[in-house]
Amino acid sequence: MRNTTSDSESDDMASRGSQDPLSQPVRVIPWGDVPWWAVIVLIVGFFVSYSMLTNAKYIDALTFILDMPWHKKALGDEALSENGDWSLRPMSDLEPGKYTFYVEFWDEEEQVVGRKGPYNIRIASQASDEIEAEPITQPNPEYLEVDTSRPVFAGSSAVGEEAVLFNDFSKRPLRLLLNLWKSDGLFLTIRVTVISFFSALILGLLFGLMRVADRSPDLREHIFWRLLFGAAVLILAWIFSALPQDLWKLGLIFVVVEGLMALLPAVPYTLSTLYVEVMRGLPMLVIVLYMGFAVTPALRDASGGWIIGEVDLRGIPAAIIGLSIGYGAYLAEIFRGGIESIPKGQMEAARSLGMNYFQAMRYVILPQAIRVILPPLGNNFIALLKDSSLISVIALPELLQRGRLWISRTFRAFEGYNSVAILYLIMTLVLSFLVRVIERRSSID
Amino acid sequence: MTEEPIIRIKNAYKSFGRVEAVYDVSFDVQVGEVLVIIGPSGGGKSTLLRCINRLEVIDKGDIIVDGVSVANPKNINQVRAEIGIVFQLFNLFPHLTALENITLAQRVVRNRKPKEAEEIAHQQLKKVGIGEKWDSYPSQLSGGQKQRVAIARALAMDPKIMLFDEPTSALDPEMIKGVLDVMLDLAEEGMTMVVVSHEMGFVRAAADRIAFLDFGRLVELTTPEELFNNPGTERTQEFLSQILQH
Repeated sequence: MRNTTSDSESDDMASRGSQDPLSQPVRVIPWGDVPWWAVIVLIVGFFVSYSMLTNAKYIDALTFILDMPWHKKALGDEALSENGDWSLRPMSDLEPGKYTFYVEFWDEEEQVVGRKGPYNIRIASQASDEIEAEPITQPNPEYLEVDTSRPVFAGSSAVGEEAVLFNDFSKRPLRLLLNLWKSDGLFLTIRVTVISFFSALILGLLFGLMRVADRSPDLREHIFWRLLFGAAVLILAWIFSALPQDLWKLGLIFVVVEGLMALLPAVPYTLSTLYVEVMRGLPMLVIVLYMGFAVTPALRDASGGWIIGEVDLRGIPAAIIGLSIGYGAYLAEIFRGGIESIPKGQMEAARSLGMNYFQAMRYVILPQAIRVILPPLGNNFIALLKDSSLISVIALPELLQRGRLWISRTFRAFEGYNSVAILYLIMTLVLSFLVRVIERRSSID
Repeated sequence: MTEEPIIRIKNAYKSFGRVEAVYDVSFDVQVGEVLVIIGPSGGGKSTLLRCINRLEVIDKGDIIVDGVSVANPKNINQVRAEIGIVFQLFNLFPHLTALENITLAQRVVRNRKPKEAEEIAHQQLKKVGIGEKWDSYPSQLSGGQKQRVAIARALAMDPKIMLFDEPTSALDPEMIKGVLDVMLDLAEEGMTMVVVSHEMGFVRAAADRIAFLDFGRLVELTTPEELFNNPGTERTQEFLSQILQH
């Protein structure tokens, strides 16, 4: 590979003749030469996946962990009556729109023995669940408009023990993707990781910028206006009688607010340092448990007032909040390192041209810092992906939790944990390969 | 009628810890004047220059640029936009091409349309003699070319004053002439310039006055003829004999 690169490069040079060699782009294959051990890994990986995918137990484990199938969603089930009659209705209201339903008949082992459908239904925009509709008895290839949000399907089956109503997305790629994205197991892990990482990025950028702020600023600058602002806020609060009546409490609030206003220029550095040190000093598991079982339940109990109503962030939002504030601290340090790695002269040049601090950051410092911090950001994404397994402790059905569920059903720990491990490995190996590509690219410039 | 000086430095002090970088310096610079600051290294030349556009903040005294006090400005960015500065190490933005280096501040600070900014950038690049290098990144340019881009970047903002902080000290000997030629042209056009430099050829050709700074103190401030032929103090004599020996 190396040979081909240098050949094409010299051809290039020859054909362009006397041009300045400095202006020639450097050609490098982004992934470089494939190392010998990668070939071995690929061969071993092939055999491992082959033996797994031909083993029924592994297929069962993977299917369960991946929360498959994704193209259909069960909406309700019912045991068949003595003479095989069944009547099914979605368990919850359906949004207006087009749907394709079908009914499966299962035997005692939950194997599919019969199938009826498709029922193509269009639910009208003013549909409501209070309207009692006639049961739909025959499959209909044309869309049938109904004005109930919970249509009833009924019929009679000669086979099976149980009838299950499914919503079928296989002909609707968008709904299929949405269902995939919303499924448990692997995709809950991916979903939580991606959302947490992007919110951690925002937090990290914000706190990283605060970390590079002046750590001992001139407190006297504009102090009059700051104190005046504090006083104005206090007076407004007093007018709207949001302040306590006790004189000592009033005094305390006054001292705290005006003191904060006096120290305002030092707040960014102090606050961000506090955040970073506290969050980096806590184990991620503690943060996740704290968010899942302490903060969000307490928030739900405390909220419910007349302004915003009940705030219930338990479950997935709690996990995302926990992971993002935890990783926000790590990313803040990465951002700080990246910004501080840019020579001081860059900021001086930008400021001397008349840009203000934020313009200089936005147009000069951050674009350069991003190149430096892309590889460590990638590594942190991988670390976050692995740490997302911690949210299984707040009972979220992500990859590891689904694996453990499957194990507790089947008592097959080897197959279960192997499947979990292999899924994590596939994701992390692909990602670390991408990080290496990015690393190479940023080192070329 | 005497014209109001465009830079007025009044009893400026600046120290870094115990080191007094600028100590009780006062002088004026008139519109269109070329003032060269010379002196031994560590003498406070660069610090004084950087104080003029508040890259360093003076401890005491005042510096008034075009009627605005730099020691206590309402909007320092407006003042800085009127003062171009060229650094010893160029400080070009490495992630932008030569053209983008020059258009960035025009668009962001002067609110010029991209097309207008590009036109001005091309003009300035031609003026400094590297019109064909507009699409190159700083890493693809030689030291002299980089410094000329840096000059073009400062000039594109239509500054009233240009500051040069040892613009040729980091250059290969054969690159120096091109940069000095650009500076000479600029001086001839009547730009107000404050230059920290030891290029005596340039000093003789362009300087209206020379300030000699040692230990942060203004030792002497006279015309080039006076300084070279009849230095006022022993310290100046000693310094000149050192740098003019070869």
